[in-house]
Amino acid sequence: MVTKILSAGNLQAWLDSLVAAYQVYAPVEGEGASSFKKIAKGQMPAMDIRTDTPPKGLIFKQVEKILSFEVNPDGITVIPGDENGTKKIVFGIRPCDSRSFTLTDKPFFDPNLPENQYMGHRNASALVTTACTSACRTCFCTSIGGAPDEKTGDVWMMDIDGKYLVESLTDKGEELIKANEGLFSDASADDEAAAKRIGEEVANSMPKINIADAKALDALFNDDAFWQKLTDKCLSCGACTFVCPTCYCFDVRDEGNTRKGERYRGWDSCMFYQYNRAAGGHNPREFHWKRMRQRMLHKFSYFPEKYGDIDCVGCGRCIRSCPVSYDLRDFLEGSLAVTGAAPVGFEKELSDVDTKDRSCEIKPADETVKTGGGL
Amino acid sequence: MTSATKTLVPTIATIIEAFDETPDVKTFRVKIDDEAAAAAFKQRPGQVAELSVFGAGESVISITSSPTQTEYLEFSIKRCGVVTDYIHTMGAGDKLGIRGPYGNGFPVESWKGKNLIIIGGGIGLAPVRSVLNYAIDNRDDFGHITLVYGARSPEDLVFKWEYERWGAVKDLDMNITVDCGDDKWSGKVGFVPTILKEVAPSPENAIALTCGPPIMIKFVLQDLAEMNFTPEQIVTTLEGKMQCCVGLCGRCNIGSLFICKDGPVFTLAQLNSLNGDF
Repeated sequence: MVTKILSAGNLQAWLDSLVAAYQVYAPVEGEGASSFKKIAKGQMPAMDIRTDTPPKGLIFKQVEKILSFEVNPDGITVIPGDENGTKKIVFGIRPCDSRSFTLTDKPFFDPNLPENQYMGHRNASALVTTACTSACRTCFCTSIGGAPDEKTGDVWMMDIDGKYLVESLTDKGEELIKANEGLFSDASADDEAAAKRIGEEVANSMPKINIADAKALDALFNDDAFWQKLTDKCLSCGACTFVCPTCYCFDVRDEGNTRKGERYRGWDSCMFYQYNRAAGGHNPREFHWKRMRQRMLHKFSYFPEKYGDIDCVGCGRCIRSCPVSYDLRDFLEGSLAVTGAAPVGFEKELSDVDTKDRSCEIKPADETVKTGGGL
Repeated sequence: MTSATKTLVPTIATIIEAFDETPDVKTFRVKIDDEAAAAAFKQRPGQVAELSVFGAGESVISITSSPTQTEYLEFSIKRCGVVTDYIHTMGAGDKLGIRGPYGNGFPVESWKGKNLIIIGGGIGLAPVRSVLNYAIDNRDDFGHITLVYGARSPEDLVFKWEYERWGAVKDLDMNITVDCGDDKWSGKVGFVPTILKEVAPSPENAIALTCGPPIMIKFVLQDLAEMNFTPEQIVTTLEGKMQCCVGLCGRCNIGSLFICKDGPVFTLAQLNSLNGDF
């Protein structure tokens, strides 16, 4: 794998070369929310922002056609949805978002029951990760095993004082650099040391949350009062799951009529009442605190127990987007208190909630940094 | 294991026969159209399949026929939602989508030589009937069979057309009960747990299987414990809201296990060790 230097001035040229060969998606400021959008030649992405919505939907589609069907004289013709995915580059993805795909891969790349369409999009995508040179006050990637400079994705790059240190992490990534070799120069040991130093500085600037292990959290399951207190103000709106890069629950719906139509898989949310309501009315998670318990324990107990990793990347989007200021970190800290692993009183933690600033200070104030966004 | 490499895409099956069991339960005999897909569809007793009505949606339904019945797959479906309402309008010759079989099923191989106590309530007889007919078709592999089955009323009893055949099987003690009889009913009257206590099966070398409404299961479990059945000897099959049936869509979990993939069959010992909503 190669490590190179890309001058800030050559970034646009590299992007243009990639845009000529692939669909390139990158962070773009939008009308209401920033997100990953397809960029055009000559368009500079908003490299400094943390997008309001994650790039999840580029690979785990918000709506994916599973099949289309049509009744004909010989029976029913079923045409499976496309499994090939479109070749694309997700450029400027943050290490936390990049890591999120490695987590979702675990259930979806099941060798016995693969989800072919997710796999298709995943295999057709290259991730160009931009390391973070500063942290939001809602960021907590270092607490869940990540890092602001985690080397994840196919290409990893970091802004080191006006130039980029660029490293390929996979063959796919190496191709993106090699095809544009003229734009890059060799990296020195000083460059790599600078990147390491910046990464450490950012990591050190972030508060570290201790997280109880999967088993200890599972033992909290029967503490109804804990969950009721935690969920007190939750509106079950599902904003947290919508902006979560690792939430992957889905619903399956048919459109059309019984003669001709399509079947779609679409994002769902465990925070919704209907999520667990079975035909006949039985609903084991009728109350919102049971749904909150499901969401928290899935991420921090069940998933780790099954796959070894916490199913959260510490991006903080759920904290920034919650209309009633629920803070995931309150759960993590509160759970430690309840399991006896921390002296912090849970009551105290919750009462402090509304005084905390949840904004991400990263957004650029300078309007000129904003780019197109019209795509 | 499904034969399809396209996990969420069903294969086509034809309904070859459909008949009413009760006012709201209908049994469907179904054959998979594609020969290779039909041959690859090898279920164990207690497994489930995802049935599709194209345009209405998918539902997870237990396969009530025993794998020893190779001519067709049977599904007994209660009308209680969008898909099942639509299925009830269908009959012989109509096409369904099917994928599966899914889930673990009952470990019938490890029950060889054991006495079976099968306890069902209402439509809950459907999943355990696969074991009953499997045991009847492999009669020498199992010991004494006790069936305790009940429904709200005589007209709500499912599989009435099977009772005569079951009654003639050697060493099979059949106890059919209703919560509330009518003029024509001459059989037992009483809730399933009450009749179970009367029958008082011995836990020695036995496995108790139960499926039915949650309230019935609750009392059956208590009564079995009083009869000295251990949690390892008590087996149940669960249901829940499921969309994908392959452990991905998220909702049917009990702790880190999914009903659709790791279940639907659980021993009471397993359920006691899990924290979960179900």
